[in-house]
Amino acid sequence: MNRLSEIAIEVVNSHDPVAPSPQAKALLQELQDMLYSLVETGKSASIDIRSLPITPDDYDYLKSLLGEGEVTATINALGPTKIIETEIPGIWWVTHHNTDEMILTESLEVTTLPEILKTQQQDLQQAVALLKSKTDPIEDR
Amino acid sequence: MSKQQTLADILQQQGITRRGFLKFCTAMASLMALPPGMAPAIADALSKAMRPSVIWLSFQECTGCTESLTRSDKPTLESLILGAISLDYHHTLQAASGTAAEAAREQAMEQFFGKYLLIVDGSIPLKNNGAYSTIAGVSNLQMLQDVAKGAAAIVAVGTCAAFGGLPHANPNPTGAVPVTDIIKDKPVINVPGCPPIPVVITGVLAHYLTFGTIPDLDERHRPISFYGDNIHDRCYRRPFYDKGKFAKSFDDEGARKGWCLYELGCKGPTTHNACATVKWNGGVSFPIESGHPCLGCSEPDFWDAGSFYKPLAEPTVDASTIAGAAIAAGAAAGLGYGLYDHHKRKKAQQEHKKVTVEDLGDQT
Repeated sequence: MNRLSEIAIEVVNSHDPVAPSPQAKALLQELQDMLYSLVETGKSASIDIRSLPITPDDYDYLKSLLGEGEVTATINALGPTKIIETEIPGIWWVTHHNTDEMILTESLEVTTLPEILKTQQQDLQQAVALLKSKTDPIEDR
Repeated sequence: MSKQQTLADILQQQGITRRGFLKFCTAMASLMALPPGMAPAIADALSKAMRPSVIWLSFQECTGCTESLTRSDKPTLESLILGAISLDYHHTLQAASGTAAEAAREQAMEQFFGKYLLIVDGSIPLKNNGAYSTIAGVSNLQMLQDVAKGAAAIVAVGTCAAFGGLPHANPNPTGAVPVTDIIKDKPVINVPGCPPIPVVITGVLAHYLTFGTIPDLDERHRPISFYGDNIHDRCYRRPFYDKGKFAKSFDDEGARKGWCLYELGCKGPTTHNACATVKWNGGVSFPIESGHPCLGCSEPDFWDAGSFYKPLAEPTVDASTIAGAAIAAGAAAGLGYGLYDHHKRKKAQQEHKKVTVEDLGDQT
């Protein structure tokens, strides 16, 4: 079996909607501090969501509270990475998947642009050669 | 593959781009409980890190630890890290057998003397001169002592190698002992669990690859980044414990509502492991999330610690008494959960932040 998500699950007794737990509130407070810091000093920061003991309810609460903003991007490297700017400008929800679409890491980045979205310096060094290799055959014609 | 390659070279050969590499490093930072901002520094260090030689010895064990590490679908972090080391001897995985296999081990020991990493799974039987487990006619004790001599560090993978495990359980017919009972003059990293979480095994390897040093260890030689918290403190059901809401049987209302499993014998309060956050099967769930109490499989003598279904302390009439009993049992109860956790994490991060890019450069 490759995909656990393919196993059908029937919810017998769904939870009543619950108020955010102290963990979720603490996480939101930390996000707020990080936003202040970004505005005042331009310093980026991030929170590793998967390393925190938040409940599935907290997770859903955060997802719906932060929402989805203007930017959605996908990076295809070692499986898809999904990058969504939340409704709050400067807060990005970054989810790294492997090729089986299982989540590797998930983080909230407080920044103007997540580092991984930028063209990487190492790749840039090979860019001229790559473009040349594509244009040379055309000029030879 | 050449032993002179760096990890970045190897990943590049596998067609992994710089973004992929950065993603890999982000996942590694998460794995090692480092702040996510450390990923570029890790990328720099790994770009220069040489491929280490690893000798893996299996003694009195069930091969479950190797299964845990190798059963995941690729490309997982585990498989990437496994691909990045030079596994020179592992009698379950290597193609060579018999004399050729032992020769490969001896060659690696000679060529990389003082530099190779030794991984051990399984306990070592001492009774009757170690006659209960031998490889190529050599007792486990003799082989461990021989190979340990040239090792830079030893990683004891699984509860058997770390604490004796099941072979050590009463009445211990083979006289099984853990690695630390035999090797006293080398750094030993214990990675207990029956089996350990695969990413925890590779997390220790990743740390060694990244920093060229062994991670910070607790008094039982366990890496603090994975074993620093107990399951209970990191459990998503902890708020129910704090409210005194317990499942009393496996099919009652509490069980259906996902309440705390303390009264059903959960060993979470006395078990140090990363199951509650890292989880199992690619992060799908962990025993408590599947409705079963923690067995405490990563702690010494877990098999002899009484019934898996007997509470750590017998519950009494009300929740406050139960909380009191838990303190007696060694649980860090009574502290503001969110605050406590946040504080601990902050502290861990600060400790880790001492490592700078310059420090990383010195290691390579």
